[in-house]
Amino acid sequence: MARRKNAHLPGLGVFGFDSIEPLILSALVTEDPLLLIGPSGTGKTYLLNSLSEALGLEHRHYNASLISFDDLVGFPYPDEEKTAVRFLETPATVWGAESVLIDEINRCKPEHQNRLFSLVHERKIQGLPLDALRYRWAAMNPCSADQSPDQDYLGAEPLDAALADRFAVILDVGDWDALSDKDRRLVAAPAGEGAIANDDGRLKAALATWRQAFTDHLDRCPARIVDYVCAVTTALLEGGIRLSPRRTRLITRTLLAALIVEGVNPDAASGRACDALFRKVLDASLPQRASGTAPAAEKVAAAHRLAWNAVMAKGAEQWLHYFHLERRLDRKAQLLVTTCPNADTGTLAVEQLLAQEPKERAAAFALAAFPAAAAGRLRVGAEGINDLGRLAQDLLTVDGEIRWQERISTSGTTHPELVTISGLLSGLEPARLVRAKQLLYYCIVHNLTLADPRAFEEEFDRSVRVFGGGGAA
Amino acid sequence: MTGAGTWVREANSGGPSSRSRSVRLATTVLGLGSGPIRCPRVLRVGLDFGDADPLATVRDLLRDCGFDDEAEAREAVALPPAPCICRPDATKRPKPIGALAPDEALYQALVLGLCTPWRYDPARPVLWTRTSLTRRLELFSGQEFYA
Repeated sequence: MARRKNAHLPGLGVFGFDSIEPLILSALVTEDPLLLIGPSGTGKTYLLNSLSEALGLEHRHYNASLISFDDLVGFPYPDEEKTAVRFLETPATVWGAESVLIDEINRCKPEHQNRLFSLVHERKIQGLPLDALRYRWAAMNPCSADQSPDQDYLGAEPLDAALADRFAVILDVGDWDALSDKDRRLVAAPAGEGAIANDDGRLKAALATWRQAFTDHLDRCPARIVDYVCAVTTALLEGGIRLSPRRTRLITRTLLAALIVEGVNPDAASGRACDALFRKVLDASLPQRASGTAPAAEKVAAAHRLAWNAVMAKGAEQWLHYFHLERRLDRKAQLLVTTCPNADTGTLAVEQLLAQEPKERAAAFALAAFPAAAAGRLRVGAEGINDLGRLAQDLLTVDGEIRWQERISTSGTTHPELVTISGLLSGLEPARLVRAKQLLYYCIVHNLTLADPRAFEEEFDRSVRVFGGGGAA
Repeated sequence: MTGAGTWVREANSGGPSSRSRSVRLATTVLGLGSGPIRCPRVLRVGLDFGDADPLATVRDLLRDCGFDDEAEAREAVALPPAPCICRPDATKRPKPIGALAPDEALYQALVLGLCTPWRYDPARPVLWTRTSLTRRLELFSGQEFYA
């Protein structure tokens, strides 16, 4: 594999990080927390310590499995007035540090994890701000759930999910088999052992430039980047992978920084290289990997593809991507009512929705939408209206027989689904009840099982209100 | 055995332990003229052409009514102005077309030409096919479905 043009890490004597270098540098630009995960001896600590040397930072390196809290803050003593507590500082205490590396972060006691939480998240310790602290880095071995049978990192536990979610960039560091032949020789060679990383200020200067560009863009972040993050978060959720709203902001920041580091104008991000870069950033932004529940790669890939295509598409095609990305029926309804570009696109959206959604959801959408479509109030062509009508007809008038088994020893029983639905219907206001009854009876007659009838009815009712013009999703 | 020659079956008589029950669920919002949602019936249309060809019959009807084509008739005849929801009408057989006054028969033929099985759309062109002319439909107003 060819070395990246303008690679910075080899100049610091750090080899084998080519593929993730843009993400490491992005974390330097954003100054958001960075976590490296990898087997022992893969250079995680060496890399982070080298970065601090190259940037001339006041650096602290703690081993989370060994430190006590006093090591971090120093020995407490009362001030002269005996009204406050001060800490006796040592060269190892965290006060005044510009960068902190917490090694083996997943091997420390839970109470220490809690204290490190505020350090990582808020740049605070004991509630006191660490004003000089810019970089919060951590490293860990793969947690137990991720270890292969020949690895055995005793005490390496999955990181607490809340702590993991504070790391903006989470990178897997490759082992020997991931190194190129050239990097293997460079890693194995003993030259440079113990030397201070020094690239004559090249990285520091580049970082200052990137950082300036980054802060300049923060208040006018290109819509396409934000759109991508929103779309991919929705698509991941559709695949059962939840990202916190806070995480979306971290991803946006990292994307912006990664584009700047790679020399791409953030306002003009497009093309195959950016596609790959966005995917890399997404992979590095999934906190589940640190807590031992790595999402399925194919789901992440599919979510990225959907989001990327949606963002990069233009006009009606883009609208159609967004329509399908939306998970909730009422949000789809909102798009159809407010922003559908033309009747042909509306027809396509409706036809694809009816074909792709589970039958009960397609039915709910058809019943909610058809009266508005039939009245000509939607941007949907005749074919789309017909498709809605074909399905809605069996919902507007439900007529069917339902069967169930009754024990010989009992009599007068009711279909179990009917009991559930009667309870649900009884609490609804009259007009809503009439509509819900049509939908839910249809589901019973057609043997459609509802996992959560109440949530299903609520989603249907929200859709009805959108199509009726009475409420935004 | 409770006594000489008498047996009592105490277990597993072989009969079923459950029975099947069924119930008909029938509910509609179409045709409701009162209540929280009103979707009243606007019109019932249907023509019985007997053995005659529907297309030839309505062409003759057009001429009898003094129109050159369906578009001209569409302009001249006052049809329901708003779109409607349609439902197949299986309740009763329509009258033979010969038993209707020509203008009534033409009115129904024009409405049928503006319908699919699901929707009446007065904004579209009249499309007469054997299928469209032989439908029997009820037309409902869906305006208050969202009440």
